[in-house]
Amino acid sequence: MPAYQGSVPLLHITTLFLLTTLLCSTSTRAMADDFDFNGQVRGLLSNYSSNSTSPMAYANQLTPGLSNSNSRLAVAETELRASFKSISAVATLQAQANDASHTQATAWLNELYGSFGDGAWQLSAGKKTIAWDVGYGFRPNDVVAQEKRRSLISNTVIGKPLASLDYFTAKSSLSLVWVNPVHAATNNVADEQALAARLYQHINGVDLHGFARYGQRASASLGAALSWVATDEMEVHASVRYQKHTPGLRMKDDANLLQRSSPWQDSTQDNAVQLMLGANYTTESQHSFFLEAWWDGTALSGKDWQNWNKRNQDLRNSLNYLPQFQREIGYNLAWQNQALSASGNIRRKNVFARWSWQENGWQPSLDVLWTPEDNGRIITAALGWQGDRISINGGLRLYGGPNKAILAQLPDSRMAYVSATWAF
Amino acid sequence: MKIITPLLIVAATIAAMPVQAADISDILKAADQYRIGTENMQVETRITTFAKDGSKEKERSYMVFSQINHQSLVLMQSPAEKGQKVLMLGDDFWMLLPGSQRPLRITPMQKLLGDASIGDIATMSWAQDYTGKIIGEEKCGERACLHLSLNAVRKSVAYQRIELWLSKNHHEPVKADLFVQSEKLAKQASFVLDKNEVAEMVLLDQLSSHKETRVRYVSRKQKTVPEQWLNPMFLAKNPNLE
Repeated sequence: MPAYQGSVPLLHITTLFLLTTLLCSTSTRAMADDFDFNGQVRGLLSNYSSNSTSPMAYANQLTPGLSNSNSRLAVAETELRASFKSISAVATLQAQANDASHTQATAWLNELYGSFGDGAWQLSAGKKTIAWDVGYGFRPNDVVAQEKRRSLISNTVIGKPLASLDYFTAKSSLSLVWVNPVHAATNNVADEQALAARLYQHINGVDLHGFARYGQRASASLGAALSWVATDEMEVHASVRYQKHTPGLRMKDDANLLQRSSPWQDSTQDNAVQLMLGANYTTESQHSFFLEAWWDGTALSGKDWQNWNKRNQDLRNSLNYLPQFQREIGYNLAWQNQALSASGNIRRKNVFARWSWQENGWQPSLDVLWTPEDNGRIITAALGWQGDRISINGGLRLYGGPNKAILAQLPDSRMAYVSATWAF
Repeated sequence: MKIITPLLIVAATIAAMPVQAADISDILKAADQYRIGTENMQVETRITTFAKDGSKEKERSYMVFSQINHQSLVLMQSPAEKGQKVLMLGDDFWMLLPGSQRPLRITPMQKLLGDASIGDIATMSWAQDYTGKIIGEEKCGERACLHLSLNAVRKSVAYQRIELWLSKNHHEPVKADLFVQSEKLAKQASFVLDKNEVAEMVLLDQLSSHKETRVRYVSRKQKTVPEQWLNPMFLAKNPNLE
């Protein structure tokens, strides 16, 4: 979570950016000796089109005001990176304005940590990002912190409070991490206190990883991953994780059609497996083709989603014979939205394919995430240009599939963005 | 006599082969001395790319730690790439991006990305990575040159074949044609010397962009890095090495 994230008066937006400018102007002097300072400024415009056939849209029709109707967002943000001797920090300052003319300024600390040791042994403490897994679209073994995957607009990850001990040789390493060390018991796995370990070994050109995690609520999990460059053109990777208990949201068994509170409740699933296989192929002319397929046993099952679709339909039909409960039906439809964040993946079976090309600073890309269980799909097209210090990026994401596909029933049907970034 | 003559020719050829192989190795070592000096080096390079009309497009700075046994670590130092690193251990490569905190395995093909690829600045030893033969003596402008045809001994080097011209007297590099695996001419290189060192390598792209890229060697010094620096997990954990 951000160290500080709250609204401040509009005038303070100016103050934040004056501060940024001041830091930028002093960067040349500051870079002397052990102090290193750099960062970037980004301007971003995004547009979201709501999905008129989603349960959330119906809910909003029945009970206006249930969902945020803002469709356009303008963001100006600065990311600052500094290090002095063994101390490193990353901070973000951000100002937002939406189409309702509401503005907000926030600032947060992505990372602040110290690392100490003689090279082979290292002790680190503070707020830090640790990413261990080998995949792109899905990383079940990022067991310290799960970053958002396949996001249309990339953002720097916010670290977790942790203490870690690492041992490195030329071809291996052992890491022990105590994450969220002062957190009390929580239902949120991301914020629970946990111990995690990773063993890495490079053998005959293959990166091999072994993982273990023990969390206050999630209990024990074990994982393994590998990455191997099979030919000059192709890299293959795989990751597998077994979890004894997986906390998540599940629908109440005895759910009547109309509930007074959300029927989606904290639950624990036992003996879940997550598996990912992927490959990356790059041609001499710099066309890259990427393919990943994964199974996420922690996601809702096909039966769960059948029930979800049926409940949506039943709630809509109930308007015909319970018109006096329009408001309650609206709330119940809105609660259906919670199922979409019940786990990291919406469907258990997923296939992700991506093409990109790099030429003269330009990088067009096209990717698709397909859920074969219901033929849902997310299609993303993007174009980036990298100059000397400035980069321009734009993209469009479309959600679709048959009517019953879950990805076709998300609150948004389309997203578009354009951003400009200046590095200093 | 008719049988003896071909046998003599074969014998003479076989006798000459090891000598030429040894010569090639010595010649390449001599040429490498103009480019990298000793085996464990820290080389600061600046790469400037020019558009077809000659205007400057972009400039990038890199710190390269070139170590024995085909091991190199490249630190990107320009604002747009700050924090990025490429680690090359023999035929294995990793890329580290400042936002992701994890090493990405990359293929030899991905190493070729860009106007001046990572291979151009990190694969520095011709003597270690190539073998070949002397084609003959040729003129390079006014200078007498040796024309060498080199083939990579490892599949993962950026260029599988190099046609190299060295000065005949001291074997300093003069120019080179660089071919990728498909036998296409990827780049043409020429070398600018200053005080017995290659001060600049000029690359002309021949595959697509036809841009000119100048690789300037700003400084060189001997440096043996700690073995942990060549572990991709250490690099992910320690974004600030120096």
